[in-house]
Amino acid sequence: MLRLDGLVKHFGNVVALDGCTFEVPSGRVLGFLGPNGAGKTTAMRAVFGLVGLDRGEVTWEGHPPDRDLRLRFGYMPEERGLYPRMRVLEQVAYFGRLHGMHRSAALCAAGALLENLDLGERLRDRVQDLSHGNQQRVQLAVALVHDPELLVLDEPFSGLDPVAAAGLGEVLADRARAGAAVLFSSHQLDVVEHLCEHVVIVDRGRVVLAGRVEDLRTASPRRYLEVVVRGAGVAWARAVPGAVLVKGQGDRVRLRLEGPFDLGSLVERARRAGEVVEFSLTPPDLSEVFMEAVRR
Amino acid sequence: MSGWRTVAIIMGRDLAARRRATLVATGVIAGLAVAGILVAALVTEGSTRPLRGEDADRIVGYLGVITLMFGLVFTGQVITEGVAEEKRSRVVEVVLGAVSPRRLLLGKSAAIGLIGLIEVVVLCAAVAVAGRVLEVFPLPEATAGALAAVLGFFVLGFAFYAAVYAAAGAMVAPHENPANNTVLVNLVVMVGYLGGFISLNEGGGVFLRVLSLLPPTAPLTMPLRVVLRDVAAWEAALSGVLLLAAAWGVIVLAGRLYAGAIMRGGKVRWREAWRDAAHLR
Repeated sequence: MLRLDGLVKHFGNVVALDGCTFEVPSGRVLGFLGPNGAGKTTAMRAVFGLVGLDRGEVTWEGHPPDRDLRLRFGYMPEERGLYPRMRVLEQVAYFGRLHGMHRSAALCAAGALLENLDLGERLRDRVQDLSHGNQQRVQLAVALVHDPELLVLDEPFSGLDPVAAAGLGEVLADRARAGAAVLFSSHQLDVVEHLCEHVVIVDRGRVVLAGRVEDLRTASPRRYLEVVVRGAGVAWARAVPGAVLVKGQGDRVRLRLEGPFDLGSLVERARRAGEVVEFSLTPPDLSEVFMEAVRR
Repeated sequence: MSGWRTVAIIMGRDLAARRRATLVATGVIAGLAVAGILVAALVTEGSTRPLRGEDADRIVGYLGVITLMFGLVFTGQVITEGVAEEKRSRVVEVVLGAVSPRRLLLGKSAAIGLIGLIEVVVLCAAVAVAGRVLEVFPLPEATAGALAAVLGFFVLGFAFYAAVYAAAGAMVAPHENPANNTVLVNLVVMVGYLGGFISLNEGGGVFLRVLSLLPPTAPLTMPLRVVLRDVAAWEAALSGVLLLAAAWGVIVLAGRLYAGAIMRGGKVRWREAWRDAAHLR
């Protein structure tokens, strides 16, 4: 289990971390969410000792990690980086060796991993000759090659198309099933909502919400109504008492219900506006939970 | 995992990455040396006044110091560029996730230093062999001493300057030309180079003696005295020990600047780099 305990870090007058505390148990994929500048990258760098903390401690299985322990971690920094002129297989194997693997084992693992990531044809190519998406896969392979017990990925989904994002989500879930602790950050809450069960949400260097996505959503007292009334636009929704229009596009409206409501009368209102095609009452989605938590 | 194994792996990568460039450079150096000897042989053919004695020693000394100066500046430049490249491509954060900055610095410097040493050896060997084979000149008496001094002080001088060049590379802002940051270091090397030559023309004396004991200038001035047999053994040894001790200090200081600067974006300030490295070991 990875534990971040009361991390505090200031950069001059800027507070990057302000008592950030949470845990990542082995076998779990944990989404580390928050707006830009919330302190995600600083916290992840702290796991690798790349940031000098003002206060607080990072521990793995109860011990502050030293160099040797960190060799069992895998890291994908936010600023992607590879040796541009090094060949793909050689590069991934090199990072395997830096993590303590023997040359032959590293080559073997790198080859198999790259094969799985659909890069089997590109093993002898230089990294600079690959497309952006393929470079991203090599970066992922570098983080995975030594079969780490802890995987820390900073914004791994940024720049990926939905198919690639789903594929990456699958890879992370596989690693977690195999027993690894997986921590990844993102500020795209909507993308991540479906890819992990557990999230920690930070804002201004503090954890503002943590838990299972489902629990966080249903724990909110607020409910949202999503309705499509054919040909009615959004005008009718503005007139619904006790509700705030949060999103309206074409005929689709999303209303936040303030306080207690009567479902029957809501249905009636929608019917009066026209033919109701869709009508659903839902708890807030993750980004709405987040907005409520940080009151923005 | 043992630290030395990590250093060896890093060294291996840096050597492999420069395989082709090293081969080309070594070939060019050897070719130029041989060509130079050949031209000299043609020009001086039938000359009735072959260089002998002190004049010949002096030329060997000049050549040795020129070799040292270019050797140190060029290898230093390669380190600066290599470090800046790792920073620019941002791969350094991935590496530092697994490896301490100290080991990365050591492995990279050792690899590039080894390449520099090979090139210096090839240059000296090419000159000597071509000279012998073409029977252009008898090797002056001072040759053996000069070789030992040049190689020895290249290694010591490299130990002194390598970390400084690395720090210069680490302080580079992404859009900057790394060469800008090495001007100052190159200047210090030049002080030893020019100082040695000037004082030699003045007949050596106290000035040369001081320069040959001061660590920053010793690598370029002490070999000159060794070649001219103008130095007591204890003095050469003292100069070497002082240089080694100073190199240790420089490595600690410049190593810390390197560690603090290598992951910072934008223009790096000395103070920030120094303070930032406190936690990196």
